Amino acid sequence: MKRRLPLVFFLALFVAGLPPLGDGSNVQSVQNEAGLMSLEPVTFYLHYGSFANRLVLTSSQARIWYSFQAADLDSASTPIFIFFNGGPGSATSSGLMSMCTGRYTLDNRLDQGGNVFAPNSVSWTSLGHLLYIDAREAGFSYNLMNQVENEGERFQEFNAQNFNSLFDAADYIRLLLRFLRSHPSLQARPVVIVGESYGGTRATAMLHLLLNYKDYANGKEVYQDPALSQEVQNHLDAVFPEYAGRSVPPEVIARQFGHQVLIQPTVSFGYQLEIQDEMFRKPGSPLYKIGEEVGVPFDPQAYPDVYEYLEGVAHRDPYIYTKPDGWLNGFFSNAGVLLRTVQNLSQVTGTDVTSIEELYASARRNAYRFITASSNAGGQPGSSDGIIRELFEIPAQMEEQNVLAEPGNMSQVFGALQPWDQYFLTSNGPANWAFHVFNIAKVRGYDIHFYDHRYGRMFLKNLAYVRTFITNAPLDLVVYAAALAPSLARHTELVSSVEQVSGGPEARPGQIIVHYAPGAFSEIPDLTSRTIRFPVYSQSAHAVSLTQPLDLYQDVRDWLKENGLDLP
Amino acid sequence: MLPQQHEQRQAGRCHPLRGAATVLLGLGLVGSFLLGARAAGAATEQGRKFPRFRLELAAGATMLDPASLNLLVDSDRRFQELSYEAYYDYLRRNNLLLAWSKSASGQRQEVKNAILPGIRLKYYLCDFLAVSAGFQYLKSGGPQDLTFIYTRHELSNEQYVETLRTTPYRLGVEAKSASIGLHYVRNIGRSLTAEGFLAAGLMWASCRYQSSWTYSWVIRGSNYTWAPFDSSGLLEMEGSGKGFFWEAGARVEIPVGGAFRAFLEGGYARQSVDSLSGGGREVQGQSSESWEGQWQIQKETVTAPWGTLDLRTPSNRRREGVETEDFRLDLSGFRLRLGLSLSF
Repeated sequence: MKRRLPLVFFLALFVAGLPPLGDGSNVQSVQNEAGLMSLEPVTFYLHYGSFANRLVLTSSQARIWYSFQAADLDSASTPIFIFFNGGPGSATSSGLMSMCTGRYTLDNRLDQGGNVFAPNSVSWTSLGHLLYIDAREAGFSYNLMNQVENEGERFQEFNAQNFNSLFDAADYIRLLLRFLRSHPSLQARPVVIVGESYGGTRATAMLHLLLNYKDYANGKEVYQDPALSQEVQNHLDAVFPEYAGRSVPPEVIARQFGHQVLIQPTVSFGYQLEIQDEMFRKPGSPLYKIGEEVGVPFDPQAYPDVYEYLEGVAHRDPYIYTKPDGWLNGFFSNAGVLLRTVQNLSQVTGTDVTSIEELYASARRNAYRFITASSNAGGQPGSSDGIIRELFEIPAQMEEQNVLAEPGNMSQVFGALQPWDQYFLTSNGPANWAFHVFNIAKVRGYDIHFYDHRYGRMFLKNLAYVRTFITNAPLDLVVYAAALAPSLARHTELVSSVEQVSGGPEARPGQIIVHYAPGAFSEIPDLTSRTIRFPVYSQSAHAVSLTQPLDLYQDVRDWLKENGLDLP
Repeated sequence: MLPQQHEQRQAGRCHPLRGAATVLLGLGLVGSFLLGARAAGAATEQGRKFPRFRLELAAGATMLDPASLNLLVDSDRRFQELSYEAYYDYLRRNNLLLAWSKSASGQRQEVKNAILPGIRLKYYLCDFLAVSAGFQYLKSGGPQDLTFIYTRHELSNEQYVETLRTTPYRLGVEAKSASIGLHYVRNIGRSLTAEGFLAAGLMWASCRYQSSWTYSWVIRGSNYTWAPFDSSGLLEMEGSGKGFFWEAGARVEIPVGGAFRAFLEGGYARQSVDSLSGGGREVQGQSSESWEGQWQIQKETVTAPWGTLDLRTPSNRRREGVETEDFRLDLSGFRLRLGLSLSF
């Protein structure tokens, strides 16, 4: 491992100067940590019922970034919060980790994106331990491959074997369970899943994989991952020894994985998109209000894609329509820039990141982050036509000119990377496209894309066991919260009705009550209804933790306490 | 009457046994051996010599329909139809695809016939009755080369070209059988002899399935071609077992010079193996797995958004929780052979 002694010395002083993690009364059994956890190649398969004709895929080796911030106070019942953003392909490090949940945060008082990390007065470390994970190829996470210098081979890496919603959830389960196993004092702690945006689909898939883990190895589910199922069994054997070696019922598994906090989530995104589009086109919708404000009336006939109007004509940010276009992404980008300075990353994670061997260029010669440097440019998924042109026709000279030189000092500290590698990506375009476009599972008809209604069905089944909190930020037009309840109601095979209730004693009231159809899930005979906490964040962007951090913190804390968690 | 036949007639003063061919085969065989011993004794007493032995070599073909095994072809074909043709139709109906086309070379062939060489040693108990011991070999199924190219015209005006190439695709059977037989011989002309026979014995049979495939997905745009995904794989399974064999048939033969006679033989053989087991191996991409197991027919229901399919797929890979049926390798069928016999 390379060492930079002056820097290490500086960081040692810096870390030593961090505020104490507790008040002295806590049981500080674990420390802050950050690093890259290795995931081995995993063979899984997809099928529609014919074993002989299944699609067998093997993922690439990955190194997944995680940052663990120990709770201010630790007791045997202190929960662990696992955080992730969405995309897919978006970094958690520049998302939830940098946005008012950890000990340090982007200063959200600075409009157009904070450009400095500051102590967070509403750190969730007062509620529990925090574990942030960057998805495969997002943030600081990277994959490894042979023949990494071959562009065509790199292109093939961005496909379903590494990028699909079920395998992505399996990645997170592997990482979570391995982290817990390597920290025995935490292994049986309650886990609260916190997902934002597409993270809602990830949370849904994760919980379904956990609660129904046997079905992911016995042929019942479309995604089959026997190694994962065994890993879950091993974990459950350790946490619930009374069930050792036996199939553990979901209600027992939910004793540990029984809470989820979803920030502007996609959960039944196919229906959500349909319904929110219908809502946007009805007179009186936010689009019409925006039209009045900007003096260019919204004409639903003229804009098959409402975001064209919103961004291209009204120049509003779809993530918070009261702000100018790009407002929220400014925070993500700024966080991404700041995190590429070693001192900032050490500050935010509370660790000396120079000790992370896998960050050094010498340890990642086979790493890749994108196909060509230009391939990580923006673009709308959908047709591959423009994407391919962008991926390959603007190509190599840009790499040669090193147009994507990273800000910060990581290259100086950790070494210069290959043109197709990068220390940090706020959002990985090819990874996102791999979910949507270059996806052999999709081409071969396996309906595992996150627009598919299976995720709504999975969410509704999870809901029977998992207490659920979802934010309602009406200014967010990307995941329009008003469409959520109706999207669940569209699953008429499972629900008889879904009510959205706006009143209540809380500071920010709100609930969604799901009434299940009789016999919705044969294995849950007494299931009648479940309630989702659905508080309103009236001033908030998509990233609610950034725009209303105190409100969200308080609501989550109160809700978790009401729902059986023993919080400080 | 030919001298040889005359000698046989002289030697054949044995008990009338005209109805023996109609009794059950086992009883007949036992009876014929007892009778043969007596007849041989009589011939020796009379001091007459005639060529009691015949060595016969034959080759021919048999019609087969090993229905259990042929289900593999049926499963492969129907699954491909569902996952390509029916899928594309579904996409097109839902306006997710502009058009699609298919080109194919080769077709998956079921096992329908086999070559049938054999050797048989006959011993004449008398001029109209003989017993035999024989060995037969049956083999079917050569390698096939299959190529299917599907071209999808996407809404983006690109073409997605999916090429599925299987080489070889092989479904084969092999069987060896050893039998003893009873033959009833009649002259039906100046030089023509007719014969009816029954034979029974044991059969050792094996089957083999092999599918070595490559798949590629290529995107063709206005001025670019890229291959986002390709893969290759192999699935092979073998099985072997033993069972009983019986055959009934008839033939005509004609002398062709010296001690040689030519014959044309037809019949029906009933032969099947009820329990086969063997090894298997599958390679898909980077994963590889091998196993040993008993052949079964596994019942699967494929449920895709665009259709369902009930498949009965033979396999020797054991799987938990899958409904199964018995697998039988039935190599019964009508057969026709041409051969040459040598008297001595």
